[in-house]
Amino acid sequence: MLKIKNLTAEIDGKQILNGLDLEVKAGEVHAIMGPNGAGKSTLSYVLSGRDGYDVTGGTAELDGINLLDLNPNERAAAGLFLAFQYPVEIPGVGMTNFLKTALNSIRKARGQNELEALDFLKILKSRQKELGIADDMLKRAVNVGFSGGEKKRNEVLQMAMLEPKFCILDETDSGLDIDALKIVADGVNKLRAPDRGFLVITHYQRLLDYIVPDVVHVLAKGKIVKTGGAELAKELEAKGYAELVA
Amino acid sequence: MQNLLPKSLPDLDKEHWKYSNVNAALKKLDVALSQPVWEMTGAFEFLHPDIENGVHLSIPKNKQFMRPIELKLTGGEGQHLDTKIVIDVAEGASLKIIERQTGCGAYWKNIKVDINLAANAQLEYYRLCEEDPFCVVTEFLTANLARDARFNAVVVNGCSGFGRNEFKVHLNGAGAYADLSGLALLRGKQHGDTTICVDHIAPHCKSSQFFKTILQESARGVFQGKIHVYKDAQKSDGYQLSNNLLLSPLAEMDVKPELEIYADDVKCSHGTTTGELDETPMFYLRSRGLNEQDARKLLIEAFVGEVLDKMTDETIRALFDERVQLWLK
Ligand SMILES: Nc1ncnc2c1ncn2[C@@H]1O[C@H](COP(=O)(O)OP(=O)(O)O)[C@@H](O)[C@H]1O
Ligand SMILES: [Mg+2]
Repeated sequence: MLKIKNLTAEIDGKQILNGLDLEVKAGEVHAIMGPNGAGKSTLSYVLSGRDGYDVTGGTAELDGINLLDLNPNERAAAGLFLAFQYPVEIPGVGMTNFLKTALNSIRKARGQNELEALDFLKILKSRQKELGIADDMLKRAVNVGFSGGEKKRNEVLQMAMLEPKFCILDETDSGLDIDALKIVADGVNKLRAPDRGFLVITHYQRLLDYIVPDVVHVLAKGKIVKTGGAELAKELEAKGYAELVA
Repeated sequence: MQNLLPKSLPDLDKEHWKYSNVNAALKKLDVALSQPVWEMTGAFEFLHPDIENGVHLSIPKNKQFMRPIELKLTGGEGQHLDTKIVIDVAEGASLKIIERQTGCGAYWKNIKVDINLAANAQLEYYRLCEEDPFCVVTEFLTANLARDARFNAVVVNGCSGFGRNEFKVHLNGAGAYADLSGLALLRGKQHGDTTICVDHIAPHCKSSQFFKTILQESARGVFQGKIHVYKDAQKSDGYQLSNNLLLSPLAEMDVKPELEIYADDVKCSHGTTTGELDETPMFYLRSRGLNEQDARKLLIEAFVGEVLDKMTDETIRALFDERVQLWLK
């Protein structure tokens, strides 16, 4: 499903990713753990095509499509979704309008018909209920005045609405208390499917108690330095990153 | 040229007019004094006959209006319209005014608006300017607010060739509240200047200035906003925000915020931003599937929407929104 080979990338001429290899098969959940500054967010931005993150070598494919050739919205249409570490506030853009515009943009790009207001609201209502999102949140502007937990839940809501093939979650657990963490993890688990892959980026092992990964990778200094099963996360929690990064 | 300007033009001291050369703009025009004809909807019984070249509304005590009163002035080629609106609102009365400015050709409108709000009076004042791109408009609004009076103004300027919109608000009575907001939409070689001074004269008054500009092509915008708190105006609450969106590398915006505070127990703040559309929300939207054009459109609509949201009257908001959307196309 997702195949990354020898990926190198830089920001402002400074090399951040140093030849990263990663393969995630359909239906699998891979976790990426690593110390602050390792390049975890950089990887997620490079994969989703953010300006300023320049790929200098290597390849990244999603189901055989070269992601690196596409602009951010084309990657979204190809099925890639990034849950942001810091979801962006957009004053003046209402949540419902935002979700509808996003969903219809993607449907259009995929050659599906655009949804009428009523059909859209039906989908929204059911997803909203599953994630315990209050009506009030959907009446506000995108992420404006949202608590930390609401912002992360909003990312998962968008993920559920857009039905991507491949989801990257960038530290979706940071800043969440245990209840919010459970709700978010529950939302993600519901989306697990045989034809969908996940890359769960986290600094702490805690999230992986709730979203149990098939494979755990350690990212340090811009490359994968170790790969193992779910037990690797526990090991890291106990020993810390120091040994691996050294 | 200086002596061509009528007395009704506000002071032309250099500092105050630093960014806007009205004389140069007027030199390009060939205009002759003409009789302004105001079109008006309703409220004729409250017209005061003392002004020949303008409109004087005198609203009696506690009078409430169901509908907004619309005043419209159309400019024509070669005209110099020197005119005045006076609105006196007696105690406890409230109304909504829509001032519409349109025209076709090269003309000069010089408009003075005098607003006097007695205690507890309320005025919602909406101005929609869709002038000819070759005209010159100088408009000077003065509002005097007595105790607990409320003045809400929203000004949308799809601008003239050269426009100067000036506001002078005097918060004379305790508890008075002035909320001013505006949107200037500039393109081509247009020049749009908004200059504001709010005087907090009495204590416990509140004021807000919320102004935005969108500039395309080689347009030039100016925002000068001042909050002036007098010595006795304790517990004043003054706010000012100027956000400006440059959609072209040739466009230019000058912003000059000013706080002049002589009281010691006050809350005043101001902020300003000028720049292109932010990259971060742009990327966020595109990562959700919106193409560049749609993402830009949504962000620009949001930018103007924050000003339009200041309009509490749904019908008026819809009218202004429709005109703004036309401009954005
Ligand atoms: N916009 C940027 N400009 C310059 N350097 C950056 C920028 N963003 C990240 N970096 C640098 O890239 C490295 C990796 O950062 P990041 O990918 O955010 O790490 P992580 O998400 O693993 O904490 C860090 O050294 C950081 O300082
Ligand atoms: Mg990060």
